[in-house]
Amino acid sequence: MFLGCYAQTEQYACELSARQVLPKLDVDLVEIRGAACCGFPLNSINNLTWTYLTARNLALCEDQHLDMLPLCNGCHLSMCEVKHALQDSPALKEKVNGLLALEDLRYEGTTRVRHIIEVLHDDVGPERIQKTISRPLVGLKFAAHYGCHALRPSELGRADDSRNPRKLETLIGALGARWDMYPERLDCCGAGIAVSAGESSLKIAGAKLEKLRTAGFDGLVTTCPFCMRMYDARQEAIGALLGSTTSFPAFYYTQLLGLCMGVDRGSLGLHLNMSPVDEVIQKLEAKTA
Amino acid sequence: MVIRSNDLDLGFVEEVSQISGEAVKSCFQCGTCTGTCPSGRLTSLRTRMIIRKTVLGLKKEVLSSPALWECMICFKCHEQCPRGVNIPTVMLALRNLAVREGVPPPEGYLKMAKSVFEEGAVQPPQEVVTRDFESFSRTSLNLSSISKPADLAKFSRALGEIGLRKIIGG
Repeated sequence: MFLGCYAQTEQYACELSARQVLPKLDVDLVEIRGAACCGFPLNSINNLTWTYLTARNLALCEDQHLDMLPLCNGCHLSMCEVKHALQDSPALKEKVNGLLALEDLRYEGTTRVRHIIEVLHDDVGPERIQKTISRPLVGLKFAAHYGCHALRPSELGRADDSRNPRKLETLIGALGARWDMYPERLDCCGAGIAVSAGESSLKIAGAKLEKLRTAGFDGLVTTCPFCMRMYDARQEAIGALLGSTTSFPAFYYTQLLGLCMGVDRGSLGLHLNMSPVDEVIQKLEAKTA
Repeated sequence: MVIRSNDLDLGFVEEVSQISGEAVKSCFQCGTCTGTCPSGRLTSLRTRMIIRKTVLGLKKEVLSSPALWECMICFKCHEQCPRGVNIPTVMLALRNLAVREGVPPPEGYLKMAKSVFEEGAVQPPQEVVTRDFESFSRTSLNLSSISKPADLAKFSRALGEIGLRKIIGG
C-alpha cells in the first residue's frame, strides 16, 4: 500500500478506513518502507524529478515483490505513466537507474499497479462485498465521484471507462444504497489549481457540491484523498467564498463500507470529516437499531 | 494584437514537441479544448490560444503567461481532441520550459518541492481539527510515523543531481 502525501499528512480518514476494511476482504496491506512523494505535483516544474520519484517508489515495491496499491488517483496515474515512459525509453530508464543507484535501488518495471476501485470491484467483487456487510445503506442515495485521474487519460489503462464508468456506482449499490447519474459526474474537483488559483479551485469544487445538494443526493462518495480534501476539508472555505451555506456530506467509499460492516465511526475516521456526515450515519443507525 | 517577426522563435514548437512527445503542430484550432476546459470557465486559461501561440513561436509570451499554471491537468481536453494531442502533457512541458528559462512558478510549487527535497513529502504531517473542534495528529490517531527515505542525505543528493536544488534556490 502506498499512501502518498495527502493521505499521510492530512487526510487521515483515508488510511484509517482503508486499514479497517481491506484486510476484512482478504486484501493484505503492507506499507512500502522508505517511500517518498510520488512526484506528481513536481512534474510541473521538472519532469525528471517526477520520473525519478515515482520510479523510486516502484523500485522499493519491486524489492518487496508486492502489487502496488496507491490510495490517491494522482499517485496511481504517476505510477502508470512513469512505468509506460520507462518502458518506452531504455535511455531514460538507465538515467533513472543511475540516480537510484545512490540508494542501492534498481527499477525493472515488474510491479503491477492497482487502483483501489479495481481491487474492490474487479478483485474482491460487489457480490463478496454484499455478503460481508451486515448493515446495508437502505434508503440513501449517493453520487459517485471518481476523480479525473481514475479515468483519464484513457489510453494509459485507468480504473474504469473514461466516458461511461460504472464501477464506483456498482460498489455503492453493493452497500444497499441507491446511486444516480448527474451531469457533473466526470468533472474535476479543482484540486489541480489549488496552489495557483485557489479561489477558482474552490468555486469548481463548490459548484459540484451545490448541484448534488439540490439534486437530492444524500452524499458524495470518492476514494481519492486529493479530491476528498477539496470536497470535505475545504467545504468551509468554499462556503465562505461563495457566501452560501452549502454543506453536503462527503465520504470515502471505505468509510461507508466500514459502517456497513459494523465498524465503529472512530476507527473509520468519521469524526475527522469536516462535512456534515452525522445525519447520514444517524439514518443508517436508526434503521438498524 | 500585432505580432512582430523578431518576437518569434521558430524553433519553439519543435522544442515543445520534442519535450512533450506530442505533435503540437497538428492542432487545427477547432477550440474543443477551450470548450471542454473546466478551469477556463473561471480562469484566464484559453487552451487553444496557448497552443496557437506555441505553434507561432511566441515563446516569451507563452512561457511568462500565468494561464499556463491554471490548467488542472484533468485530461478532459485530451479525451476530446480530434487531433489526439495530449494537451495537459504539452502544458506540463511548457511549465518545465518556463522554469528552465527562469520564470518563477507559483509559490506553492516551490514550497512543495522544498519539502520533498528535505523531508520526502509535500508537507509535514498536519494537526487536524475536527468539526467538533477536537485536535488530532497521527500519534493521537494511533497511526505510525510517515514513510520517509531511509537515508535522506542520499535521497536529496539524487534530487540535487537532477537540479531540484537549483530550482528551489537552495
